[in-house]
Amino acid sequence: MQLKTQSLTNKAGVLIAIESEHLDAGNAPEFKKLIQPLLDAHELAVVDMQALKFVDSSGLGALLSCLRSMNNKQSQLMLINMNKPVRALFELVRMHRIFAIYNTLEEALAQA
Amino acid sequence: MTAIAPAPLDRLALNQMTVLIVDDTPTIRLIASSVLKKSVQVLEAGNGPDAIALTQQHRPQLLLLDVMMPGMDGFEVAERLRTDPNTCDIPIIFVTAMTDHDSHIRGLALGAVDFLHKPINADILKVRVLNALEREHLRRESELYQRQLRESLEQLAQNSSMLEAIFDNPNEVKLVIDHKQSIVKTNQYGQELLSPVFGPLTGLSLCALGLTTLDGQPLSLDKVLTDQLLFDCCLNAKDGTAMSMAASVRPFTDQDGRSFHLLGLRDISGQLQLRQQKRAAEEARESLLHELTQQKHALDEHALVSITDRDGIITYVNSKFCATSGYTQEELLGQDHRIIKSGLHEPEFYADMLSTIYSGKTWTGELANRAKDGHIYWVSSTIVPWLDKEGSPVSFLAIRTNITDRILAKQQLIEAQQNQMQIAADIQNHLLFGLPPQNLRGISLACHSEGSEGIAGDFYHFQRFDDHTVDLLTGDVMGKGIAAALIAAGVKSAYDQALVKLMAGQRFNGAPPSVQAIANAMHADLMQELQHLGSFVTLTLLRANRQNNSITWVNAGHTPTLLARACTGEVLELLGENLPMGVLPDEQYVEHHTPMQEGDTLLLFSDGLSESVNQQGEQFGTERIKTLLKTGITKAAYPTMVVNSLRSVIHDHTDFSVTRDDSTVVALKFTPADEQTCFDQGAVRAEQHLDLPRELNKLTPLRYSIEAMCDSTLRLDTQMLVLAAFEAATNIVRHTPEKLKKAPLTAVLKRSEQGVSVELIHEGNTFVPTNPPNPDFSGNSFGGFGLYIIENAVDWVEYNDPMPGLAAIRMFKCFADVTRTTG
Repeated sequence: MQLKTQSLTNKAGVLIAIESEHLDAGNAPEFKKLIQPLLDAHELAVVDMQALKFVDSSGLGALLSCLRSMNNKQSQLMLINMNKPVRALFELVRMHRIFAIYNTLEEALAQA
Repeated sequence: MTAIAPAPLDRLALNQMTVLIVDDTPTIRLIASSVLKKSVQVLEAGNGPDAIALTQQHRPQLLLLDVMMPGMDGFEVAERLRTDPNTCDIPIIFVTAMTDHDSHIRGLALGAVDFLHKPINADILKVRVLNALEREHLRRESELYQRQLRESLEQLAQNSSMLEAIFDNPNEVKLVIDHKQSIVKTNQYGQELLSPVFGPLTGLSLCALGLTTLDGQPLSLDKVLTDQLLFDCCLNAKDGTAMSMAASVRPFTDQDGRSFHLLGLRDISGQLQLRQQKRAAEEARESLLHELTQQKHALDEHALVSITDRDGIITYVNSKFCATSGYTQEELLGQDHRIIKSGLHEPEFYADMLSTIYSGKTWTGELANRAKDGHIYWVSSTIVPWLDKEGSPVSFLAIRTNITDRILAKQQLIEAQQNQMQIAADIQNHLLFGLPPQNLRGISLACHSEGSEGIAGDFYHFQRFDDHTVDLLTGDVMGKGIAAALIAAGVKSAYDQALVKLMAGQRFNGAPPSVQAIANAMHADLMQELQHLGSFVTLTLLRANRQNNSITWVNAGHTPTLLARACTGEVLELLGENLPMGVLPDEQYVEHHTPMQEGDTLLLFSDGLSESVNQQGEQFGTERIKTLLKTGITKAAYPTMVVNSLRSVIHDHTDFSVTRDDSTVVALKFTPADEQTCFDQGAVRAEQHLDLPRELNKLTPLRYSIEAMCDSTLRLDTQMLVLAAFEAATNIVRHTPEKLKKAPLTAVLKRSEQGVSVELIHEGNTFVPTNPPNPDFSGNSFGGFGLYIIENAVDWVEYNDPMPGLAAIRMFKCFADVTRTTG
């Protein structure tokens, strides 16, 4: 699992691209460990999920943990470029209502 | 003699003598005084009381006392003076006019030395007084001599008894030697000590005592008696008795002027013996001390030595201790011994050590200590408590040998061995236990092997000839571990070589060589090597042919192959009559043919499996294996399930204890031949079996397999099945008890026209969730979605126990464009 980051001009934000095709029980702990310092350091984190083809409940739990972490410090977490099967999981467990999910980075930044 | 001799009469100093004149008549006092004054000193008194006072004060040598005086008369004065010890012996000359006898007698009784009658004649007075003084002087002189004589006699008597006592000293022989060197007298002790050895002593010549020095040199008697006052010597009797003596010689002369010697002899045998013992003890002590010094030097060169008091405070360390620990002596002395404690051992380890030494016992063991710079060094330590009289330890002596190099070498050796074992196990897994071919038409295979030491002497091998023909070789090498594994690899290699040789030797017509030809070629190849290694191999070589529905097999001393008939449910034992390979050089292996039908299942296993024992030592046995196989037939179970079920029930039987022997099992089933179609040619596929390790990060192949089975990675419906299967697999892995961590999780994937099913089969108890609560959808909880996802992502879910010892969850997802059916 690798995370590719890029600074955003908005609100000292960061764009985090998940460079793995799955986020599941096998790599969720590693993901949390990698992303936490980025969340701590920024007020806006936009997670690009383009590469992700599979997310399970553990992966979802890791993302929820990220959301909690940002909410606790009045910061924003946005998810973009979500693939259909992943979107299906979010909808199955109604998390599409909890997360700020956008199709593109531009859409997300417009709302930031 | 120191007594004072009285002055001789001619030297009598009259002028130092005093005469008291007592008379109430001054004239008489004047006459007398004037007569006497020329010769002696004169005092005068006119009455009795004055006379007494002057006498007591001056103590005159003579009183000239008038009898007739007014008041106290002369007799009364004399009486008074007689009663006083200081004045009682002063001579008195009475002066009186009385001449009667009574007065004379009275005066004499009162100590009168003379009488003068009045009227006094001056010359007579003078003569009488001087006479009286002279007599008094003589009397006193005589008294003095008598006293001195008495004292001298007393002294003499004392000296004499002292000499007697000295002579009769009961601890020293006293011999009186005359000028002829003969013994003339001896004391009692001398008699008692010497007479029994030398005979009567009196008259005996001194030569007869045989005087020598202590080391046996003769002594000159003349010289001894002349020069030596004190010397050690030895008396030697004729009978050989020798007596060590300390001698003293003192010459003396008797009253008659004859010369003698007093020879004193004191027995010093005991003293010499003690002196000798003391010297020997001193020599022994010196020698011991020297030895101890040498030993301490050797110990200091070799070992780390320290002494601590009862409270663990260091009181001594040697230089090697300092060199190894890196501390100086000053840094260590007075410190708690825990200064070098590494803390690497468990608290129980230290507690055991302390309780041992505090109970007065010696502790030995190997432990890690920490040096000043923090590095760890290992020591082999012996701690000896020093006990007081009550048996309580007062201090502890610790002797340690630095074994760091050995420990490191041992650790490296263990690591090297582990590496070697791992390499061997890896090689074995790849070399001896390849995956069975899956792309056979109408034949399904599954296998499993467990080594007793992690490395098995068991092996199996598959050779696929075409879609419906496969060779299965399985066997067991005598022995265990790496050696057995290497021979097993050799046997597999022998099979391949035999096959190549036979196929090259015959004109290849597409048909493989016969099973017995291969077996005999292998035997020829292996015989010599196996005999050389002192080993042999039991094996079964079996060829399954789905086209003509038969099996051909050779059994070389191996456990019987079990054949379960699908139509009757009966289980047969296929047991050949051949010996194991490597036993007899001219053994001819004979093949057997057995017809097969669809659904028939074969089970080949090593004796390690049937001989697995439980805690009571009871073997699992072939009958139980047959029963399980029968159940498999009844439930139409696939080989994977049979193998996993068998492993599960054997684990239950042995309670997961380490097996004594390698155990291997291979299952082969004749499945419907038309199931095996190519992946891309139709909707219906043969079911697929997938063994997954129970590790969260190794479940990805499940996803790929389901996607492949569904023919699409993009279809949302199949993605939901992938999601449900993944959640179920994650749940199973997460809830796997420790002892089952190594057991695989088997996924059985099936595709029908309606949809795809995924069954996850695992060792353990069936888990059926009962009304799980809905998860928290608020986003406040990070988990608890798994069961909800499984239930809601697929069309139906079923929990069951497909075979003894196995549990399963089966999920089915309808294709979106197919009318939903029930499972």
